Amino acid sequence: MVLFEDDSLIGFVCEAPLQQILSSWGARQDDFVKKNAGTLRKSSTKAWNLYSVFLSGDSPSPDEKKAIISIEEDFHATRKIVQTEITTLSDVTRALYSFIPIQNLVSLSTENTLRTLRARLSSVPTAAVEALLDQGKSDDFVVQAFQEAHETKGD
Amino acid sequence: MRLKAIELSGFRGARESLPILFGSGFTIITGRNGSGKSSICDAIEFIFTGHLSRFSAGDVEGGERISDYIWWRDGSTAAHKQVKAIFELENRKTVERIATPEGIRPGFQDDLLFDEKSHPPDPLTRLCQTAIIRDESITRLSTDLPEADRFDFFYKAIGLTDLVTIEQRAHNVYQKLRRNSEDLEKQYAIQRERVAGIISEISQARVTASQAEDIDLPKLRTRLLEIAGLPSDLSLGQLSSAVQRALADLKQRTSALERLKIDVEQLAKWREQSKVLELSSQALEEKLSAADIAMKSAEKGQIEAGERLKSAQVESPAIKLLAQLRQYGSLIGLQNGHCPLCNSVVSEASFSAHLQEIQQAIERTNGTLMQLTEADAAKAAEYSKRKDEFQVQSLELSRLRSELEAARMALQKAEERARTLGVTLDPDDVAREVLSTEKKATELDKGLRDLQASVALDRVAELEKQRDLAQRDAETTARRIEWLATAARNAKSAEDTTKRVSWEAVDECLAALSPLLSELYYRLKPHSDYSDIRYRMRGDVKRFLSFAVGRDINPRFTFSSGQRRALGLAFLLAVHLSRPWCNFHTLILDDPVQHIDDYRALHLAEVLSSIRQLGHQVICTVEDPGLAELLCRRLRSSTADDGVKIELEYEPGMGSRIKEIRSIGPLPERILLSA
Repeated sequence: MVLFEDDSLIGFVCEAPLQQILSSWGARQDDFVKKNAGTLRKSSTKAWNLYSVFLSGDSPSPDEKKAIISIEEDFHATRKIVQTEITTLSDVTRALYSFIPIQNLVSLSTENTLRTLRARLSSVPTAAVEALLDQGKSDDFVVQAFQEAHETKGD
Repeated sequence: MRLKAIELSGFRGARESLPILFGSGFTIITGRNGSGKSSICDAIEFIFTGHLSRFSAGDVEGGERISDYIWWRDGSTAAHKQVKAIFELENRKTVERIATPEGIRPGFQDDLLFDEKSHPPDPLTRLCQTAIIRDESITRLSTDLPEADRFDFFYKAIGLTDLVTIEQRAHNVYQKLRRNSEDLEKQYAIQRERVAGIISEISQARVTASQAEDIDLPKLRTRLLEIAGLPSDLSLGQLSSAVQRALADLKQRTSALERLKIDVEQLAKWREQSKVLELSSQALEEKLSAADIAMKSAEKGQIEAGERLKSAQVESPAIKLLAQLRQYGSLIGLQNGHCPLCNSVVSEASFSAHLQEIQQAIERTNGTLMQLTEADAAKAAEYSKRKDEFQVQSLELSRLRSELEAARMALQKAEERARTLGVTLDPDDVAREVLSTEKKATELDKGLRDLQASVALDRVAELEKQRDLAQRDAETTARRIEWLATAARNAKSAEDTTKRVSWEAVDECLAALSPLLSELYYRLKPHSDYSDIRYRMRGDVKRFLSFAVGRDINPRFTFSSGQRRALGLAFLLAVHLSRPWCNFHTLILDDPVQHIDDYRALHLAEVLSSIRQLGHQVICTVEDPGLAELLCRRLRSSTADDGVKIELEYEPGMGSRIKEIRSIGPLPERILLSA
């Protein structure tokens, strides 16, 4: 069992076979709360944010899945998280999503698209391409640019 | 940049001033229905865009729109109407923005809110769509959105709209270049036609020119002028036209003389014919006169017979009545020795004799009538016969006179034609004149051909110059057509390439976003059976973005409304967290837990807590006080980023007001360690 705490929550994580988790989760939870009762009284607000996390490498049967859902929907004392089929580090990370920061942030950049477009249009005269990409120019201007660029090229 | 404060005055549900000071970390706004929670979210949107997107602009009811209800009404007049928002920059400096019924006073440059180079068109609307997640729009903008609109929403949210604009422009340019090319093709066809026409003219002119033998042009000219009777100052071109006209005149004269010749041959016949007709007419006139007399006599006889008959007939009605009387008398007979008519006493024999007398009178009268009728009929027949005879002879006389007139007219016309042509009605004279005219025409014709042949040589040279110019013009047009075709192909290529690049960009963005979407979906746990979500993109001209769970199950049609909301939140939060162009990092949620059960509400609270760990400001309105407390506990207040809970209430006649404000301070740290 590993205890954890951050600026808003406290809890424990333990790993066990699924059958053991299903049979003893309540006792483990109560045991944790009882053992840390004095500490938790120091912050009644933080005491609301208690987590009991149970991890197992086993694969649950349909009945066991149902039991897991019942456990997680029990809001008494602590917030319960039961995760099964934990075999890799990313599985563990996923299991702890409830209290870790967003993991897969990405900044969608579209800066390269115009560069890519220019490179793909290398067979088109540059003046025509630049006119096409210039948002401040009218369609008629771009038509004219295309015509002139190709007439010049033809010469 | 984040929201520091907002003040509503006379806006939506806030009649008086409603100042809201936001926590730099998070703000939870709670209150019953109608307390004004959504008005604060409305105010945040309004300060950016000047309208409220959750109401359709075209939505009209009773002639009223949402724009009629932006500012406080209901009879009371608020002290002043405005929305004022204060923003805090990363360097802690503040800037403000004010919206009034007259418009928005920005107060700062928009490039503080978004990156000038990479923002999408209409960036403030995009900002609001991706930063303010409202109860009404959670599924409307995600799971319940048609897949084409969903793609469009995502595309605009991540700032790729430029490529759409470029693609459309390339398409327009291609269409225009194609039209220009078609116009040039038509022009080219006309020019080629002209070249062909000139070449044909050259060929003809060459043929004509080849017929020009050694011609003495001055001598020819003099002779033509003489034959045609033309003035001597004509140019060659004028001479040619004049000779052509003169030749045409001569040919006409020849035809007229030929016709006159025929007439002249007919002259003797016409004269003889006239004599015979005159004699016949005279004889017939005498006969006609006699027939007229006979006809008139017969007419008189018929009239007299008719009058006699008429007189006799006047008496006949009386006879008729008499006949009827006799008949009734016979039928009725004597009535006790009395006459049935006058009731006089009369014997049977006298009565019978009287009846007999009446019968005899009737018979006498009838006999007379018959005779008179026969006589009248005979006279009528006589008259009719005489009349027919007269008419026949009259017609015959008219015919003779017409023929005579025709013969005289023919003679007269022949004389006139001869006078016009300057000849007499002598056949020899006419024949001589025909020969002379034909000779002149022949000479003129030959002379004209010789003249045209001489001119044709110059014409060939001139036409050859024209041909060269026309060919050069056509060649230039042909080259322009080729250039335009290349330009059009390149414009099409640019359109296709842009489409492909934008598709790739979206695909890459979606691929990059996919782990975040999967994570948020997993965190929110909409469905116990489906723990992962995938996206699908398809379409070429129009593009579609759809989701799938499990074995390609479409959640739009299988998830409940609460589950769709959870999925929708995952998508919208993923978009919110991934906007590269946006500098405004505040997340505003307006009642996101409608239709969501407690279990999933807890997951949402955890997600928001994780978002808070990124340093983002979160503003959330909820109705349920318990949920509000949960959020206050979980959203991580710190000394740098504090939290605030605001409870609103609605005061009748006054509008929304703050019932309670509570500061949410940080929770104690390291409790377990200190144990």
